[in-house]
Amino acid sequence: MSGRGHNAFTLVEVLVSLALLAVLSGVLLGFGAGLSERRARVQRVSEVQGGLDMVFHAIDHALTAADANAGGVSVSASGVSITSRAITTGERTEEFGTLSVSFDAGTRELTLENSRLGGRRVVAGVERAEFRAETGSGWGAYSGSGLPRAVEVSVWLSSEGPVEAAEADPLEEPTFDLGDELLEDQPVTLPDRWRVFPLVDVLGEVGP
Amino acid sequence: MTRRGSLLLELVIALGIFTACSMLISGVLARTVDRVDAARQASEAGDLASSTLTLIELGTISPEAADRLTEAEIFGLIREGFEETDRAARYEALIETQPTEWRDLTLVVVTVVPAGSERALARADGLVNLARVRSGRSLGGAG
Repeated sequence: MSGRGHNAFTLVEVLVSLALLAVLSGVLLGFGAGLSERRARVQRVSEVQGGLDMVFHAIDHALTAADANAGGVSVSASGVSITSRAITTGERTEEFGTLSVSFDAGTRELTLENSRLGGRRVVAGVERAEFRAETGSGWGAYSGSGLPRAVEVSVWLSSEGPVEAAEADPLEEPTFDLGDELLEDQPVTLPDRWRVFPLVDVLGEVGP
Repeated sequence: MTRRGSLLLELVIALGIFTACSMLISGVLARTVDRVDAARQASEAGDLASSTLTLIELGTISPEAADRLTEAEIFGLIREGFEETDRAARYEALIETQPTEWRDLTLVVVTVVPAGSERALARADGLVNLARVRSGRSLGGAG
């Protein structure tokens, strides 16, 4: 018994080592969980911001070539549609097509569709998005002949992230009405992303 | 060195390696978070610079009246019922104007900085950098 006692650990050593193991495992698990959560948050923010950068760039690009004679610009509280002019070079005509950006409050998604390129991009995790046009007499919805002087896009991001697939109704079509219901129903706070896009003829004719 | 002594040394080394690895990963992650945050700030500041320049071009506000306004104050210019929040003073716009040789036109440069700082985050660059404003419309103050 006394010979084995020198090679074996004492009860205190075993208890201390088990306690150390438990503490280290707890720290490691907590660190791993925190790391995973932060990584997911960074990835989500990065994806949403990247998506919004692309949406804003696409709107800016489309507005520079908006064609009043081909439908021009339609702006509702929940979306904007921009028809760009065709460019003819020699015998070749390139149709720029229509760019549509719409917000679906049910799925909290901002959807960008480009008819010419056939592309579709969805930005998830958007709490709310509003669109308005400036016509010279104020800000609001816009539809009809001619072009507005500017288009405003305001985006509030969701702190909860994208809606899970089970919560979203896949059969529900994205809303794209010309009313101002969304503007009236909710209080206005500072958006997370906000931009006013000018149309090219804001200044009219200028010269020396 | 006794067996117990070597066990303690092994434990200390293991803890040291664990701590060093944790700090290394935390540092890399913190830098990544900072980069993402900086990119987000640059995008938001760029949006504010472009929007401010557009509102000046529209005649909604004059360059003089827009100088040193925060993004919340600029947003509130065109939005009735706007409620200012704690995050109202993230950025402010600095406006510089210069006369040009072009009739009725003013050179306007919008620079966005964090509120209370002079460190530039973004400018209204590219095609709108040298904004042309009808001076007759832009000097009337906030509309």
